[in-house]
Amino acid sequence: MPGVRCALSALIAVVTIAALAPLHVGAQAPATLVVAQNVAVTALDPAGPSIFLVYPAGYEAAFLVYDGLVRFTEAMAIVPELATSWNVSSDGRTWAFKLRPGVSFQDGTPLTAQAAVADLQREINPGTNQSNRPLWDPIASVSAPDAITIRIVTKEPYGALLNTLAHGSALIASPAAVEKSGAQYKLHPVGTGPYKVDRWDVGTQLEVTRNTQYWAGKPGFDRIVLRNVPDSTTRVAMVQSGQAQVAEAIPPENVDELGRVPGVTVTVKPALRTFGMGINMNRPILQDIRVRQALNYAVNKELIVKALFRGNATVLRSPLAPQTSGYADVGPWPYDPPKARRLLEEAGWKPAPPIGVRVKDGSPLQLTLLTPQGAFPHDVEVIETLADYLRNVGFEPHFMYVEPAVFWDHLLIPPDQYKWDLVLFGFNPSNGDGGYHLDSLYHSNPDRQHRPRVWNFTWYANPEVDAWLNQGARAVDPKVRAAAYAKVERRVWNDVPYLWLYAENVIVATRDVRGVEVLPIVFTILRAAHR
Amino acid sequence: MLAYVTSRLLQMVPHALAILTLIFVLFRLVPGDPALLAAGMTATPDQISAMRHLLGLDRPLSIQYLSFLWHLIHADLGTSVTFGLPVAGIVGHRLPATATLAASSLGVAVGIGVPIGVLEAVRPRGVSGQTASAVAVALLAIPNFWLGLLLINLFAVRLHWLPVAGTGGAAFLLMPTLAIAARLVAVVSRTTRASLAEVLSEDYIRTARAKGLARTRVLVRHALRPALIPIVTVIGLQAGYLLGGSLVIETLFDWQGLGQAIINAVALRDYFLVQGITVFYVFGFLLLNLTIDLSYAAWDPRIRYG
Repeated sequence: MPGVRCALSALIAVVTIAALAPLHVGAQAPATLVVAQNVAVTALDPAGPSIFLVYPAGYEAAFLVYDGLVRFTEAMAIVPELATSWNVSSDGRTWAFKLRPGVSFQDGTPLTAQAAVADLQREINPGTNQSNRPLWDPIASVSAPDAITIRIVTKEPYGALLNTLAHGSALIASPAAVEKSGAQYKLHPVGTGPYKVDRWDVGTQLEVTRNTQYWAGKPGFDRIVLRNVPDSTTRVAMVQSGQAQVAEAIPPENVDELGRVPGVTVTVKPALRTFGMGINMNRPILQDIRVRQALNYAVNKELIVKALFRGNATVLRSPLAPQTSGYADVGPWPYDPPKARRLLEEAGWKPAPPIGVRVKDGSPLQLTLLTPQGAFPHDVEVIETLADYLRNVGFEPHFMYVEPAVFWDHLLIPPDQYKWDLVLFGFNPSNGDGGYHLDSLYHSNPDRQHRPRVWNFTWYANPEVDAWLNQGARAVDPKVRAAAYAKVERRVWNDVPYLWLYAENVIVATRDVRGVEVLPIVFTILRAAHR
Repeated sequence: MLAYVTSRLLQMVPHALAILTLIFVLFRLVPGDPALLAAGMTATPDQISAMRHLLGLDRPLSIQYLSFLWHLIHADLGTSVTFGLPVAGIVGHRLPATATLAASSLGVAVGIGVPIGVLEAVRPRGVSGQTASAVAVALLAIPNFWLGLLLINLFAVRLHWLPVAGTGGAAFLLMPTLAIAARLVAVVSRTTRASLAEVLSEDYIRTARAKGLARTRVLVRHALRPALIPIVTVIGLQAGYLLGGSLVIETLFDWQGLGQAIINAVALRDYFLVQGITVFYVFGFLLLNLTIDLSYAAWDPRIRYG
């Protein structure tokens, strides 16, 4: 069979040559920045309902295309952007913003106070903007007394107004473009930002080019390509090989290896997103505060952080992460298993040999632990490790894993439909404000018939906490707010509606690029990126 | 032939209807509320019910079912909730990438797998046959994502010869093709070996040899052609799966095809997009099966339709 063998060798030779030949790697034009994001940009209307889905990629893209009246610096300070200055009336309810002159939208229409007001009215209208309601509901009206002044009147004094205006949902869209595109506006965004949308393969890749009319000068790149690369291994490899210059959501275990690659910088920054196990406060056995305290004493959080995150997280000492406005150190809950056992004894839970699960009135101390698989970093490993600690003091943990897509269906439902006792949850205050964080998770729910108000799915309720939250929200003076929120943090911490764990770090890798801002609210801001 | 094709196409109608009904029912049983997703996480109950109405989810199931079929007849796979774009458009946009990857993988699989299988069948105890056999088993054993990672590490990260990931020309196609083809090579070679070995034991092969025909001629003309039927069947089935997109490989290599689209759609709970892509898979699979069946006549002259 010389013929067959000959053909076979020829084929193998061809394949080998094809495989080994150094094919030209599609060399990027020098002025293009390629960014590997872990999720896809799916919509770019700041007032649209679905911007939440595309967190953080959608916000990161929006911050390239749009400007806001104000913006966050990397240190979460709020500085002027389209507004050059502002003041607030003595009653704390009327704010006046002076608009930067000579700015145009990418569609050529000028940015006037009337245009900005029309856009902000879209934001405060619950009909168009169904997301982020807690941020926008305190605003009563927006008006334009003259061509360069925007007046915002709030229902009560609203200390976090600037945080709301620095939030992604407050980016200013061209009202002319909104009207022109209608329901399709989310795919045809027009802002005043440094880059404008050029090509968009929705769900895969967004390409923006330099806005030549940009008011603050020439942006650092001709083109920025935002690519959805869901696999973290691929994102890491893209930076290693130079195919991407920015890659976000780098796993902690890749930090050291990536840091050794010449030209690659790995930015590790403590984030504002806090993690913990929300406790189902409607479950009778968990209504006993001693059981909830025992949960917190039973778990060695330092070791979880060290082992699972290679130290790339901070153990919580407050319901808020440090760097959040209004943060107060009120912790810790130290690792103390003997104390946890003592508390459970006092609560009437006695160990039942031979397996050691505690029993009271004939029923075992069972807990169902809920987590999405793959929605949060190391989520499954975290609760499996944690379950061992709980077992150690006499709990009998059961696991309930769900797809990330249906996770919220287990939380945002009436409490009598709950199937879990503890749930792993991470909350990121995307406006950098501790008041928003505390209010979303710990303000009591109005009624039991419906799903929780915002994210209070533990059904924690304390009238004093509600009062302090309202007090903080209504204050404009940061000191008054901080004092009110410190009281909230201390009380919530002692009421134990959570088994508090850690605040993670944001990890972003960059290569041969400067000016990339990594914000603790998990957004990578690229508008000032340059070679 | 035409009558046969027509009757086969008609037979497909009840098949398709049964599968479509199953898809419809299954998607209504999946947990999760598309209206909640579309309305936004913090939407009020009123806003959610308004969205449910807009999506037609408040209508009786029977009406929803009929409307689903009615739209399908008009080639309307619905609208993606996330993107606000027609599903058919998204499928059409993603299909070329997946088809390219499927075709190149099958090409490599056939080009390498068939010769290996022939070698195994002809020389079951020879060194070359044994080696080919060992290679085939090894390829079958390596998970494709693992092979993909090894390829990325070697050719992209260390050698800088190929791009890590993305959709583009030959350079982008090579690694995902090899990652998918590895297992297919094994499948094709195993099938070739088994099928060819059986044919080679037939009486007419002995007769052909006895007539004094050259070995290669016996092998290629008399044995390989009828042996191709099971091979073509296997390739056809694999092509069906590949048309659905190799989910893991498309994700790993950021290959922007249907597999990646459906994974994204599931993650975003884009109910209508997942449903639409699934419907597309069903029809793709049915048509591919028919094509394979019809191609038998081309391989084996003894098969006639009509």
